Amino acid sequence: MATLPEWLRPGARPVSLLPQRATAHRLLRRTLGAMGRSISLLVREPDGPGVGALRTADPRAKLLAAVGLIVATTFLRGLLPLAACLALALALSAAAKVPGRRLLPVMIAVPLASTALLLPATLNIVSGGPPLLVLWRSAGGAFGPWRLPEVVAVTADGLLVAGRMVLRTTACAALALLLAATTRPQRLLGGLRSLGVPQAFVMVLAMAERYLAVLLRSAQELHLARLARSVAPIGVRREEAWAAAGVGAVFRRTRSLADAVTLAMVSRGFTGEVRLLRPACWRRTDWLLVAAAAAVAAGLLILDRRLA
Amino acid sequence: MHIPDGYLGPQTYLPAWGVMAPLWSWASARLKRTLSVRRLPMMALAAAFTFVVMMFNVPLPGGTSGHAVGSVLVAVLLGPWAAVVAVSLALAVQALLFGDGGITALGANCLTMAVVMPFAGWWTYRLLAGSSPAGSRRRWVAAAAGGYVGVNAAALVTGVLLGIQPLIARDPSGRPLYCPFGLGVAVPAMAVSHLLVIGFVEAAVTALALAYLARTEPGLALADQTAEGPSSRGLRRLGLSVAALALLSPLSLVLVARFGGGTAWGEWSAGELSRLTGYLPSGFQRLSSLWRAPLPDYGPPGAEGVSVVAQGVWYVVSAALGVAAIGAAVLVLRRLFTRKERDGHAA
Repeated sequence: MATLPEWLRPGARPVSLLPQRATAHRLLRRTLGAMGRSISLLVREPDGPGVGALRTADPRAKLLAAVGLIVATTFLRGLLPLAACLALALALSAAAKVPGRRLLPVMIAVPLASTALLLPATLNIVSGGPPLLVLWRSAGGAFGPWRLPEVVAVTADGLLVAGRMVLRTTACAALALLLAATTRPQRLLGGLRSLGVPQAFVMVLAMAERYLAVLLRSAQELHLARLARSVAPIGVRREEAWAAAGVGAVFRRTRSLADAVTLAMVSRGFTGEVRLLRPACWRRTDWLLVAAAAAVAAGLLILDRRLA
Repeated sequence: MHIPDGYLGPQTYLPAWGVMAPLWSWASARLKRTLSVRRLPMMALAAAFTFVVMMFNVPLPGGTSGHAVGSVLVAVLLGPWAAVVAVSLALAVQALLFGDGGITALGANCLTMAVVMPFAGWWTYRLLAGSSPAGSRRRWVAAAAGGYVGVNAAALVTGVLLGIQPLIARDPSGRPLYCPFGLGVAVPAMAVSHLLVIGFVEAAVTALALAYLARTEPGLALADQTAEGPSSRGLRRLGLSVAALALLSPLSLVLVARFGGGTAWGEWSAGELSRLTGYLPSGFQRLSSLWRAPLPDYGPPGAEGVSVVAQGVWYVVSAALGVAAIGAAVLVLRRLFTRKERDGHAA
């Protein structure tokens, strides 16, 4: 009787490369994760019933309100009005029951990234002003063509400038997230008509959103297949070539899909003219939402001018 | 390169929307002429394709990773005007549904990634590719150069947009209200990272994707081999000369400083006239206070004694705004007159 080969015996560990794979393909896994999250955002289930007026409001009203508030936020100068705006966005997110797994990553990543980017702006080299906390003192001098500063210090002006920027970017991101999280993607894009976006653009945007999930799925399959067949890193140059081939493959899929969609549309009577379904009528709550947003925006702007 | 909300002031993002609006309408009018019935599905799919391209991460030497923008690739495959529409739509989906890039900054982001990038890349590519066959080495070298030039041009414009913020928007105490880094920091920061690293990613992805498509799909027609590329040479030449003149406009500052010239003859302001002649006619005085220019002397409002470099950038910005305003006015007039003509024919 033939004996089993070494690698088939129970307890044998044929895939000694497994731990290495986990680290070598971190990038592939990260891309796959990002694609998966994007797809799930696009094809998520309709929102459950009874979770607040914000979810049931007309997407056009929500768009007008959110864009108006974001524009008003970019005009604010004081820390207090900006903080109030951020608090309002977070309170509304809580009231609309935006899930924590959606809210937290943005509310951690955006302030952290802006803080990191704006840290140099707190220093006297960028913002000027009297020093608040001296970090480094030197005798001055020059390094090549550059003159070294004699004092590097955190200044009150710098802190104000950086704090204003961090608060403003976070508040805008929170408002944009509130809009995206409480509205289904298709309805949100359809609502752009109310902002004066031409019909053809709205239709193409809605189509792009629909087929984005299909193309993302193709790209996801490419990455998954690559991950399944990889045992070791292949180097930056071949990684680039692989990514470019992947992009090429997705483009071929894009073309064939576009041809198929065109044929399907033409066979159903499409002649190039854009017609959209007549949107539903505005209800009183929708008007109320827009009016409330306008009032809040005006209030914040007035408060801001008073404090300045 | 996606600028989030809050980094650009309304003084920047509103003009960016103003520049983009006629460009979008022009681009869609062009596509309507050349792509006919196929245009809507193709544009939608091209927008989705651009979105997916931006999700492909490429490892960089040193352990980090980056992604290509793909505008130049779309321009090479489908034409620059198709790229304007497709990349703009992809950026709109990113901003609205995924919170990537700001909603107010969308106009500025489209200006850099959906206009400057595809056109800079497309012109470089056309210049180098000539009439070489589709699968040739020359063509993919041209595509690589196009990708590199395109992404660097976009990065430069992004750096300038961020860098002019402290010049144009300050609170009463003189502290910057928006992006606090001036041109001296923002432009080098954007330019160096793109010149040294990200430019090569874009070049590699553009060229290798084109090479892959030429190998796997030999019959594929590129944008410049079909009717979808730009055809009106006269208009393009006019556009190029206007852009070149706008970029050269700060030259006058240097010349005036070098030769000690004054204001052009007959274009004196009220102050200069009273200094030159010793008195100011009362009518002149009354009229000169009627209108206050939004960009006095082609510089930022209320800023005196800015450096020559900053003044030079302001000259270019003023020129771009002026050209955009005139272009928009011409487009509106053309739309009005053609409509009137059509109505006249109908009656």
